[in-house]
Amino acid sequence: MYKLFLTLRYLRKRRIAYFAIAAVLLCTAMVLIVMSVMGGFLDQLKFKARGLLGDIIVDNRSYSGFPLYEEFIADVSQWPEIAKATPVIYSYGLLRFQDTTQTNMVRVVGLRLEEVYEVNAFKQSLYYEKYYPGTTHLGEQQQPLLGFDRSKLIELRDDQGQLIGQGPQPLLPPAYQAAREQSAAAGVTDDETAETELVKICRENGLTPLAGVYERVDDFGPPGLTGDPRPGLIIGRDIVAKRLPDGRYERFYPYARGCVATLTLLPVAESGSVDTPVKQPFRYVDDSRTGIYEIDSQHVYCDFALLQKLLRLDAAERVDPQTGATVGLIAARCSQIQIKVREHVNGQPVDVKALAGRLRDHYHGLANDPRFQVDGKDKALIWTIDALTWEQSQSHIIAPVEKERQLVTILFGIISVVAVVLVLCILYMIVLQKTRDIGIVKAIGGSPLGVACIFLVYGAGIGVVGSALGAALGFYFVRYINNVQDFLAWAFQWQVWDRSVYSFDEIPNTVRPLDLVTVVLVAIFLSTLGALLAARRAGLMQPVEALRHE
Amino acid sequence: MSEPLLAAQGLHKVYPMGQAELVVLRGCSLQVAPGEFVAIMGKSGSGKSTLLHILGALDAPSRGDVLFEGVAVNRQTSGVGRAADATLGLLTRQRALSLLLHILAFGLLAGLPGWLLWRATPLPWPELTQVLVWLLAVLFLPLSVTVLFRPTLAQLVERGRVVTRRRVFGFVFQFYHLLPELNVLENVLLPRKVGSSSLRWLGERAAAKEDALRILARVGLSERLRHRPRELSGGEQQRVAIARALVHRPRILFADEPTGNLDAAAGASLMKVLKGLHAEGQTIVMVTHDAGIAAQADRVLVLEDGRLRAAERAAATT
Repeated sequence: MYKLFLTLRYLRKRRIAYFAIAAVLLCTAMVLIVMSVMGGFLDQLKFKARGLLGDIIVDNRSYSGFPLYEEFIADVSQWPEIAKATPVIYSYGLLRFQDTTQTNMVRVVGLRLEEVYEVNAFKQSLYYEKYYPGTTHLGEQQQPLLGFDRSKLIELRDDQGQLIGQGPQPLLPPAYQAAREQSAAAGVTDDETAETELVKICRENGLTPLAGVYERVDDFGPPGLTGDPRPGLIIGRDIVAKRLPDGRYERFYPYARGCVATLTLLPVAESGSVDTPVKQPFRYVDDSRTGIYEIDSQHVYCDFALLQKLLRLDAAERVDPQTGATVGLIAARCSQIQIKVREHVNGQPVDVKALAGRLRDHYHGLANDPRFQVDGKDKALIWTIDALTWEQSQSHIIAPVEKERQLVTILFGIISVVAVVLVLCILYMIVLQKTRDIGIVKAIGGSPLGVACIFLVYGAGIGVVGSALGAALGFYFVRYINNVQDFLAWAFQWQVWDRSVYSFDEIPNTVRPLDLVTVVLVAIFLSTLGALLAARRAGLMQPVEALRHE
Repeated sequence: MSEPLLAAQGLHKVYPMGQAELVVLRGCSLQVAPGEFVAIMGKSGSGKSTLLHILGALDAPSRGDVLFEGVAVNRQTSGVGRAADATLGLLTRQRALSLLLHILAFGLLAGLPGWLLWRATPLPWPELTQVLVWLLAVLFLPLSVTVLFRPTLAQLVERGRVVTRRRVFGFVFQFYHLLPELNVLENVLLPRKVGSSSLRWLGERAAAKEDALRILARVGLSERLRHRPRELSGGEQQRVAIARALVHRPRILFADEPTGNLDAAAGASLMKVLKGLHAEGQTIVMVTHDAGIAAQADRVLVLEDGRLRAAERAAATT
């Protein structure tokens, strides 16, 4: 009892201990902040990677793709663990918007949109689909034009709110207008786009603000649809819009919704050689933001069947080049199958890793399945197929970040040893200062271990107080880290987290309880460890010598 | 003379000073009867305080024995120290076994659950293992400390003396030696706290406080309970020290030059307190160089050339 009593008294009365507490506090806060930000960064990366891929990916990493995907999907769809499977094609191409000279090298993804919506979180990445639900599809479509309702006049004001005149109310084609009214009624507001003049006018006049950029009709006429029907193309957000430092996007006027963009593709023949390039005009129907810059600045998405046809990956007759005679059938191919797995089957959690192995084996088994006639070339493609969990497939992105997180945590942990040394020095100094007190406590019956415990508990007390305060500081710093960042940007023009550079809008600001508990426990442990030497000296001190100490 | 409460037999104390040796005590022997007030006189540097420290189990003699109720304090065969000695002796004899058991205990405490969690598939939280191991490591720390501070033989004897000091001896020092961070009441209560386990203290806190208040009232400090030592005069501080020495009802009160740092009036007042205690049956052993103070004791011994002799009453009173 006296140990705790004296420890608490020394903690309160010996102000030098405040320095040790401050050291522990800062180190705890520092490590917690680093762990939280890096951990949050990693979590977001994982979350977004998973959202884009589904739970299991079947792939052979070949530009030529692999056959029997429909048969495979039909088979595994019967398995209780499989919720949904969809084929995807990956290719490369050149993207050029109409009336511009800029050409982008892009990765082209062919997908079945409705199926993909069920397999992963692609739908949540779409911009126009969020504000105009149901208007994004990859089929043939015309360009929607923004028109005006001349019968309804709205007030136009300048930046200072001064009335500068009246104008007709902006209006979209009925399907688009209805969709926007519907999302606006559900409270969906566009907070990811830098406010355009038109949005501002709508907002100030109580109208449902338009989201995105639309081509306008001439002469304030009514809205409508224009142009030849073209298949839809979803484009990576960072191709069509510029990310601003505040995290919002500036949408460029030339990239109005529905404008024409042409893809130039390089089909690969069954032999593996590149065929003559093909061109296909599309309409820019939506843009996708997964949150991973490498994807959002390079990927475009079009209809699976169309891309399969353009790349000549669809089913066709095999012709003998010598005789010109049909000698068989070439099976349709895809590049990847994305699979969504049910979390539980019959109340048991599904082992995704084991399931991936079973899927791979099943696919390999199709090569020799008597139901299908698979020739040697297709067998070779099938045997290269592997089924990976989303984590395995993205390990090249996740693993380095994970290592980086561990490395940074270890580095900051090593720096924290300074706090331990400081605790050691301060407690040693206190033991020297309190030598006579130690003698007194021993003279009235304090045991060596008891006296040592005073200083051990002292060290632990410094750890408890320092780590508790440090945890609070770290927790609130992480929680308001974006506000701190904004303040630094505002006060010193110092943009620590440049949203135009990083994939994420905000610095991760969640402290995981496990990290918090771990850091606090380690801090208390190390602080107590720092007190060991001083405690040992105090414990082994002879009472008479201590009492004579000047 | 009745059975002595405290006896010293052939006490020697030698301090090694590099190559040479400083011999302070050369075979001191004395006996103190229950309820007796003994004063030990001597010149400065004669070894009075050293003798008192050895008698009070604060220090160990180089040779000789101190017996409390007939049992040697230094050999720790006294009734008070026997239980502690037995336990600690076991530790010493089985030091290697203890260490091995310690490691095994840690293995079981931290390793086994950690290993089991590690092996368990699927693990609900993979990091749980790490936290558990850390938690157990923190719990392990007190055990580690017992190993680190595992006493040597000399320390074992010291721990035996600790028990004696805690239970049967009380000390008053020339320089008061109060803890500056504690107030008067807290200083006085400290020996009771030191002598109690946490649970026991919860039970006897009220009684201890009552005792402390009674003793403080007796030494005339009831109005200064919340004062810090630095806010008291020398005489008041010494009275607090007496109260602290008495709070655990010691069988013998040792006083090392209790008036040495006080003016005549404060010294006289203090002696009045000591004599009052003696009158109530408290055994007191006091060291002083002041013949006038010593004369107030029942018996005066003189330490000269490292040996004790009885003082002549006339000499003592002059």
